[in-house]
Amino acid sequence: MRLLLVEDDLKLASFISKGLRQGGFAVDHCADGEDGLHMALSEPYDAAIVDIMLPKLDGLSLIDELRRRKNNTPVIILSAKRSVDDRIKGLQAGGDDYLVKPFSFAELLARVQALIRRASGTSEPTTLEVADLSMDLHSRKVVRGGQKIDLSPLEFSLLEYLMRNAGNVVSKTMIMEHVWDYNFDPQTNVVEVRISKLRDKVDEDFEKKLIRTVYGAGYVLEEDSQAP
Amino acid sequence: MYLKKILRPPSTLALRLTLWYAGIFTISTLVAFGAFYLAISTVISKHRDLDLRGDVQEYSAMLVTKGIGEVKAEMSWDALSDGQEHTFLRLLSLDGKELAATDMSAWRSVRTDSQALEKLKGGADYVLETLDLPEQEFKARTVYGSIGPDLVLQIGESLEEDAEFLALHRTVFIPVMAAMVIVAAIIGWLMARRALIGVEEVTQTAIEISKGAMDKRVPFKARGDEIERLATTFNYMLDRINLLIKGMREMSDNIAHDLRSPLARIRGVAEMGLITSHTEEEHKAMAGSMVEECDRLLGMINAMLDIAEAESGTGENTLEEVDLVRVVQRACELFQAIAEENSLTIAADLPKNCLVYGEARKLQRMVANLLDNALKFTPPQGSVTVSLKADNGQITISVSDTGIGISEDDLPYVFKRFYRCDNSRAQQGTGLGLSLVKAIAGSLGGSVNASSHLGKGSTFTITLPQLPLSHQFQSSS
Repeated sequence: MRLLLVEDDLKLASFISKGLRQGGFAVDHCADGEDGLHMALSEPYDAAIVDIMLPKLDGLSLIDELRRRKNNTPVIILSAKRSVDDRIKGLQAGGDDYLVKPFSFAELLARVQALIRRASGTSEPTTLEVADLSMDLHSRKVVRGGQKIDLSPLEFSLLEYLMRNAGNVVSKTMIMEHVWDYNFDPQTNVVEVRISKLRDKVDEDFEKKLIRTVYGAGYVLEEDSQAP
Repeated sequence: MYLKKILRPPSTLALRLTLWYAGIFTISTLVAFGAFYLAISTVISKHRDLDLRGDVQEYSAMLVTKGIGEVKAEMSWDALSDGQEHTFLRLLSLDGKELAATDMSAWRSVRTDSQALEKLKGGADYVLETLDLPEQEFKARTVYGSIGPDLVLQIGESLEEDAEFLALHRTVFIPVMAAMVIVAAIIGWLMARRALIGVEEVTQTAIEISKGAMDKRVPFKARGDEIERLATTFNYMLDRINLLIKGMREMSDNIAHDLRSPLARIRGVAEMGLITSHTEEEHKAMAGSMVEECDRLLGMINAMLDIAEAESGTGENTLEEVDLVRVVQRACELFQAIAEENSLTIAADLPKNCLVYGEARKLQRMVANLLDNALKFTPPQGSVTVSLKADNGQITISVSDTGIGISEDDLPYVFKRFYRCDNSRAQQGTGLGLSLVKAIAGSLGGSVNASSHLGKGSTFTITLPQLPLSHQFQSSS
C-alpha cells in the first residue's frame, strides 16, 4: 500500500511517515500543495493524507483540482480547525475523512485503514475473528475457545470496535467517539473501567490475554499479546 | 481668510444652539412688530378718513343753515387754525371750476381730479384720495364731498402727524429690538451651556478613561433629565466593560496557572527522560504519561473553546430532534460501570420520552458532566439520582447525589471557570465541567442551579425551555 502525505510541518510529517511505515505502508512526503498535486497526479496512491494549510496551494484547492481531473484517490484531511463548518467544507471539497489536529496516531492509522478498505470495496464481514475469539455480527454471539461469552450491548460494541481494529492501538478518545458517540473525554476513567469489565469476561479465564493496555496511548486487541 | 472664518458655520454645539435661539427669537419679534405696526397705521388712516368725512358733513350742514358766506369764512378759519401749510380747503363746481380756496401757496400743485368729480356726479357722497405732492414733505389725504347743488368741497390735510407718530414707533422699536436680540443670545448661550455641561462631563470622563483611568466615572447629579440618563448609561457601560476586562484577566490568570501546570509536567517528564538513564519500560511509561498530560491539556483547551463559543453564541447551531430520555439513559449506562466500581448506584426517574429541539452533543455533554461530577464526589455506598421532567414548556433535568456536598462559601463560585473547592483538588478534573454546563444551558436559553448540604450531598438542576417542535411528537405510545 502506498500513501501520499502532504504536510508542511516537517516534524509532524516525519512522525507520521515513521508510524505509517511501521504500520506497513510505503509513504511519500511533500511539503507544499503544488508538489503534492503533482505527485498525486503522477503516481498511483492508495490514499492521501492532506493538510489544509499548505504553502503555494492549500489543501482544499488541491483536493478540488484532483477531483476535477477525475482522480479518485481517497483523501484524509488534516486540519487545526475543529468546527463543524470546516469539516463540512472539507468533505464537500472531495475529502473522504477529516481529522482534527492534534490527533492520536492510532486514530490516523485506523482511519487510513478504514478508508482503504472502503475504497477497495472489501465486503462487510459477518464474523470477526482474532485468535480463538470470534464474533458473529448477525446473531451477536461471541465465542472464545468454544465457550460462549455473554456481553451487555455496550460491551459488545466495545469488543466489536477492538476486533475491527485488531492489531492497532485504539485511544480512549476513539473509543468514546466510535463506541459511545461522545466527542469528549469525561474526567472519570469511564473507558478504563469499561475495558477492565470486558477483560473480566474475555480474558479472565484464558491463559492467552488478547486485550493489552498501551500506557498513555490506549488499548490494543491482538493475538500475540503479552499481559502487562 | 478672516472672512472665510466668519462665514464658516461655527462648530460648537453650544454656539449653534445660541445662534438658532437668537435667530428664531429675532424673526418672531420682527413678525410681531410688523403686525403691530400694520395694525396701528391702518387704524390711524381710518381715523383720518373719518375726520375728513365728518368735516365735509359739518360744512354741508352749515351751508344749509348759515349760507355760503359763512361757509367760506369757516373755511379760512379752519385753514388758519390748522396751519395753511398743513391744510387747504377748496370749493369747486361739479365741472371742476374753483369757486373759492384757502391760501394754496403750500399746495401749488394741487389739481382737481375730474374722475373724483365724475364719481360725485354719479351719486357718490365722498371720494377719498391720497396726494403725493412735490412741495409737501409728507403725503396728504384729501376728500371731495358734495355739500350743495353743484357745490363740491375739497379738504386736504398733510399726513405729517401720522407719519411722525409711526416714525416714533420705529425709532423706539429698533434699539428695543437690538437689546432684546442681545438678551436672547445671552439667554440662549446660558441655556445651551447648561444643557451641554453634562455632555462635557461625560466627554471629560471618557478622555480620562482612554488615558487609562479605568475606575473613573461620570459624577452623578440627580437632575432627572436626559443628561443624567446619558451619564447613568455611560457609567453602566463602563461597569460592564470593567467586568469583562476582569473576566479576561481572570481567564489569563487561569491560563497562566491551569494550562501551564500540565505543560510543566510534560516538560519535566521529557527532560527527566533525556538527562537520566532509564530502561525501555521506564521510557515508555514516561512517554505514556506525557501523552496523557497532552490529552488532558487538549481536553481543557477544547472545553474552554466550547465555553467561549456557547457564551458568545458563535458556535454553529444544528438543531435536531433529540429524545432527552435516550440521552440520559445512554449517559447512565455509560457511567454505570464507574458507579459499580465505586459501589454506587445510579437511579433514573424518567418519563417515557421527552422530545426537544436542541443539539444532541450539547445536551449529552451537560448530562455527562453532571453525572461525572456526582460520581466523583460521592463516597462508596452512596447513590446518584437523575430525574427528568417536562411540563409547561419547561424541562428540568436534575442530578442529585449523596456525596460530600459543597460548602456555602464555595457554592456561589462552583460555576466559575477553573474554580475548584478545596476538597475537590484531590480529584482529577479540569475545573471546567460545571462552567461548560452553565454556558451550554445559557446558550440553549436555560439555566443551571446548585444546592447543597455539606456532608449530605448536592443537587444540580438544569432548566431548559422546551422549544416548540414543528410537529408535536409528545405521544405516549
